Amino acid sequence: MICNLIIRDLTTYSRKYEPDFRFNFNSNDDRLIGILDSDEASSSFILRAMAGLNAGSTGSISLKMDKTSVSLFEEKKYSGFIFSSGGLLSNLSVLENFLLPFNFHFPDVSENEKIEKIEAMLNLFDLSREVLYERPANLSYSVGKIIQICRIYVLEPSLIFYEQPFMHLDLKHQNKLFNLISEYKKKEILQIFTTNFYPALLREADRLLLFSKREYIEEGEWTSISKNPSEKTIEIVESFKENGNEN
Amino acid sequence: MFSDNSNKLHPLFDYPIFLFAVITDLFQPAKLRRLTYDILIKQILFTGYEALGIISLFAFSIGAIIIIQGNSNIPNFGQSTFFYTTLVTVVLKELGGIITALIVIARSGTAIATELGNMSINNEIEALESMGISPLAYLIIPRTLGVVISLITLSIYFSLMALVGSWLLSNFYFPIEFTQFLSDLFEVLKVSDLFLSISKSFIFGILIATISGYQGLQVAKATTEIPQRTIKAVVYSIGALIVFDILINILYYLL
Repeated sequence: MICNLIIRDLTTYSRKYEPDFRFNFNSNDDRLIGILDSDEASSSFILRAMAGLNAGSTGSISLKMDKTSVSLFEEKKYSGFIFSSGGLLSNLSVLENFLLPFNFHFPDVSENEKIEKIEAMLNLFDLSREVLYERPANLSYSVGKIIQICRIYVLEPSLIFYEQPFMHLDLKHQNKLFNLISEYKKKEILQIFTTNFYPALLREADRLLLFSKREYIEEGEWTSISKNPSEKTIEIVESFKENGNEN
Repeated sequence: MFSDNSNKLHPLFDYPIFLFAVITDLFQPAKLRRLTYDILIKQILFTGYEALGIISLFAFSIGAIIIIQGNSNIPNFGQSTFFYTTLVTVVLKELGGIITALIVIARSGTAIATELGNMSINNEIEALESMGISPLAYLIIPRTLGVVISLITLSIYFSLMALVGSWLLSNFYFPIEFTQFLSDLFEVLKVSDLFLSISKSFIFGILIATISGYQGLQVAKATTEIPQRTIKAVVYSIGALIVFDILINILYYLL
């Protein structure tokens, strides 16, 4: 389902109840949008605020679909968030981790259908069904990250947030994930990410929003930003050129 | 989650607001009950069933000590109605609830605080929020219900075991049939005494689970915070226990 994300007057507050971040946003026709900040923690903060995960925020975050509009503060059925690390419930098996959001949002789907979808998604990343019976603590960081990604993908959300999507993944799975992101972009699923490496993703993005410690600087496509970086954006641009990971 | 600025009042109000949210959400919609049923059952098994051994030991010992001490200080203690009044007052109305609650704090309170603290560090709480599942509804409420049900049951069990312990020891001083023992006990026991015991366990259960859960959720990003919050959970739970025990007793005797 094609959707647009519209954020109005999103304000987060410091511990002293002073506003420390204000943001307005409209995804418009863009399907793959990047959030880049000179400070990695700040880019994660902005992404989580956009996903409605920052408690105490005010403003509105609306996901507009064909006939409906939902607030991301209240309804998460149509969106998914992939964390840079962790994110799986440690007291549940991998299968239970998959079934938790499935059962919550889609209780009428049959058990067989759910298992089939889960196995199909694991096959995309060359994981066997045996992993379903493991506990997250027994998984490597890479497999744990893949499980987290698969858990979101099986629900077929209209909006996906990626927080450092390639972190902990080996090169083979980074490339698989990148191909999936490109495929989802063609299917017009709205995807918003942060990353501090993998420049190919920046080139693939329709739009990048650049910040300096949560202060908005500019936005545009990677080719135009990287060709003529401003004084404030040069640090971000150079960090991607220097990491030696030009794919 | 609850340590940030979602509440713009003084931080002193954080826990009362949390407690209010838990109490108002105690009866969950069917959608969530399906997901949390397993958690509720596991909590009852851990808090209730697995504590039966230690509760039996404590209860039996307390019941026996009452007889031993009573007979040492008061002649014919076991043959007077004062004996039964002591059992009702000390065991049923006070120690049953408090000692059971202390054991639950030591076992379950620490476990809840530690588990939720670890979840907080590993982004598991935020993962639940990102899936649209309220951490309060999924993590805190089934645990609260489980602790409350277990504490009420354990408190009744404690009282029964203490009575059995008292009866067994009393046979060393003066033989008495168990049915006679119970009959004499029920002459002193009032329905309001049972109600007091159960209501104390109910309130203690809510306090222990919510204080431990709240402290666990306060853990930010450092693992060193987990033992600190666990200690706070234990200390604050014990403090709340004592304060509410006094308040409930005052209310009971005023009404």
